[in-house]
Amino acid sequence: MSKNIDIDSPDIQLDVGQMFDIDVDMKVPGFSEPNEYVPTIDQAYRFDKNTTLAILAGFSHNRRVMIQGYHGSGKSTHIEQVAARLNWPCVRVNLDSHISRIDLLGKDAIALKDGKQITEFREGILPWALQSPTALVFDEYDAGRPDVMFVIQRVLEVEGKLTLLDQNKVISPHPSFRLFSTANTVGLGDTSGLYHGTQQINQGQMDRWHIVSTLNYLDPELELKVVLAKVPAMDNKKGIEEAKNMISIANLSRQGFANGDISTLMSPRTVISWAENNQIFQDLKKSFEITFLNKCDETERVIIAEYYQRCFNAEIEGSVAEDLIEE
Amino acid sequence: MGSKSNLVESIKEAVSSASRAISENPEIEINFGGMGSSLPNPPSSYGELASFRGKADSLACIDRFRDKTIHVDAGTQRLNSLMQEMENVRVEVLGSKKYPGIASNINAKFEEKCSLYQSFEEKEDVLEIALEGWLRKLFLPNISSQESSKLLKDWEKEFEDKGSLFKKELIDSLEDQIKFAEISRTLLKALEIEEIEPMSEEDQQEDDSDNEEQNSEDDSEEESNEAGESSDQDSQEGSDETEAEAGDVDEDAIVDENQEIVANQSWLESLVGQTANFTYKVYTRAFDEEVTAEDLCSPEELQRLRKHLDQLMGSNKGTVSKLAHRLQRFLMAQQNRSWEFNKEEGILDSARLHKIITDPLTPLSYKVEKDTEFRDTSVSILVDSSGSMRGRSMTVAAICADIISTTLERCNVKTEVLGFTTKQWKGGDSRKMWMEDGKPENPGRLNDIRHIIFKSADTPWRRGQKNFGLMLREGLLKENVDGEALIWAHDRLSRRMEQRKILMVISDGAPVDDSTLSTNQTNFLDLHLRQVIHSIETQSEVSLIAIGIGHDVTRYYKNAVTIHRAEELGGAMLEQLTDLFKVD
Repeated sequence: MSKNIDIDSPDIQLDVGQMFDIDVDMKVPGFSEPNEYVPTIDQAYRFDKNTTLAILAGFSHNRRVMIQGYHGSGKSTHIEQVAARLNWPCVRVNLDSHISRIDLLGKDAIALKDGKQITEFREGILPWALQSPTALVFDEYDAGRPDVMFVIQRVLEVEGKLTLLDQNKVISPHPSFRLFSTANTVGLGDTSGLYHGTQQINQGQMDRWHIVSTLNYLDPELELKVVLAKVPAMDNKKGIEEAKNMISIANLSRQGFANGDISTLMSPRTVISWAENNQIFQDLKKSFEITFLNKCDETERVIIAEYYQRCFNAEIEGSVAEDLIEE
Repeated sequence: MGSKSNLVESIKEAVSSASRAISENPEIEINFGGMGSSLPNPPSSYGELASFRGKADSLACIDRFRDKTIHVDAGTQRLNSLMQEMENVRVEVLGSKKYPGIASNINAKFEEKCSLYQSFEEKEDVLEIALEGWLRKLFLPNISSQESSKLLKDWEKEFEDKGSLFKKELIDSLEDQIKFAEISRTLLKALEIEEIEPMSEEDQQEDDSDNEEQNSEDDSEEESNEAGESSDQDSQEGSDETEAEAGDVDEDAIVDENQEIVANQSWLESLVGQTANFTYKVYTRAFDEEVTAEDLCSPEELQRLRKHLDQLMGSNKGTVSKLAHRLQRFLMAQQNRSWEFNKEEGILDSARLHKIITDPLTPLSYKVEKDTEFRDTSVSILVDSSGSMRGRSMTVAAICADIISTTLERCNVKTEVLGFTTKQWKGGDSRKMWMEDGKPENPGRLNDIRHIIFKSADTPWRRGQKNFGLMLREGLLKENVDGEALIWAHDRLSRRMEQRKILMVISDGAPVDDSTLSTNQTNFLDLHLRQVIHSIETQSEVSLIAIGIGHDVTRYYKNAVTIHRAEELGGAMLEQLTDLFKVD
């Protein structure tokens, strides 16, 4: 523990192009030694250029960065993996509508001191992170309740000091404190009908995020690399062919969603779980059914079946062919 | 048999949606059967499915891989058509390489085409198909087509002799439309297509036209066959539908009657009956119906009408959706939650636990999460679907109903959209029955009422949306008997569990029904409407608001606005709704 506290601010410069495998000539500050809060590196992770640059700007220039995008596109993992490579301590907090002020700021707790019970103030995650070189990530930012979110209003400003009323204490942020968030919507409420339970974000607060970057879906080739990296068993000729077709149907479903034909879509996460499930069941159709098809509206399955036919030249349950055979 | 037309519809929907996704173009025009359409009618057997899909996929590939701005003119008509053929093969091959399913679908389509050429004897006539076969074999060596080899045998040697030089170039330029076109032109030159036709220009043209004629004859034969089939099918379907509809109607009538017997009179109706010296009566309810939009209209037509509605929406959408957004924000802002502290029971308030130690006599402190003040709400929009609403007013009403139900659904407010009109002009079956009975005096309401459920409160908008198109259907809009419609909508609404209920009536005139008014006192329907409104306003928990289009409804309803242009409807509806939500 003591060793970790030694490094209090970034002490080395890292080359971006080499580290993240993207075509940019840039250097970012990082830590030479990891501590216990640094996420583990996932060697298989592939970085999206624009998102990576936005996150790196957040780290190196102390910007508040929000990553917005469809579900399962790897927003939170993206931030985590960048932090992992910079050896930057990173803590993720999942916001939901039950997170309250005291969870974030801290509360009085009972403690034993010299054999006596006393109450003392225990700092919440926010004051703690604020005083250390930590990147704090608020996941599902738009799920937080608007009234609670005002707590972090001050912290969002780069030089914003946090006043703890219960403690009569003012906290200045650590120079290496960073704040990120991920959200499915851009704070204007759910317009697509996909994200139940998201809140509209107060525009005064939205305004305080310096960078809002959108990460929707990956390039098919990049996605293929991700899938193969996640499921190494597929990295052979047959597996690559299958994975390509899986990504094709995922892209058809995304296009179909954009066209308004279907109301569920396959995220990169769906594709990965499909590939993984396929390893378990060794049956492409069956694993597709349990991974994705069963989540779809019944009336739309016929369309999904049509996509499946195009990509795999095979019929699945609910396809029009099934009905024609019966006729 | 109803399932059969459903099947045809679902094939159409599935295939065209796949084409839209593959072409990455949501606007791609796919239509089925009939003159000038891009695809034939959907197949009725499994065997034909693959080639049908192949045709659709081919269209999608053309849309996705071809740059339509590029035109190549090879000089003669014959060369141009061959070049076009090669270009088609190119895009189909690109699609086939990307999607294995497309590869097999297009192959099935190709085989079908081959079998059509089977009867041709002349070597010249099969050139096109042979060329296509040769190219397909070159690009897609893994996919074999048996049919084509017979056609290819006449030409294969020639192709191999003269065209083998170009093989590599063709494969390399597959992705490049312009380069591919240039190579095709040189290839065709090398094949000396023109020399093979040892005729003078005129003859050649004649021959061409002959050829074409033959082709077109073939085509037209095929088409007429298809058309015949399809019209057969259509007429069959049509009769089926009418049968089914007739059946439905009967059933409905029976159900209605039963309900009548069981419920006898609804609460509101009995109330209305009590409140006045005037008694409203109905000659017969035997012919009244309550139908869902799906039963009134084939899914195909609903879809077409919905598309039409979407087109009309364009210009109006902006303003209405802006207002809808405002309403949504307003509603969301009301759905606040908060904690109450210092309670006797609830969740232990851990922040105050230290008090027990500092002062052990204080009781434990609890907190309780306050439920949202926002009340459960159900909104019902009742649209006057009478003849006078035809045109602009109805379109705007449909658009507003659509947008408001989407908006409210997002805010967890259930919305129902209903319409009312009559089945016939001039009394319909009720009047016939009255005539047969010897025209008794003061018969009461004398027409067949039709109450339409466009979207019930529990249908999600996603499933109900296509029904809104029905409002635009010609011939739906007839007379209006407002009083009974209000009772009906009110009853539906009062059966709902929600705490707050809002009934919004959109109308453009007083109740009118010639058949009734000519046989009763002239203010018969009018009086009834006033009674119903009075009862709802004074004794029901349902809040009633009305919007009159170009017609002063304030003399009927307490909460009413009158607008003069149909365009104002969206604004008026949302304003009224917002006011109602503000009340508490």
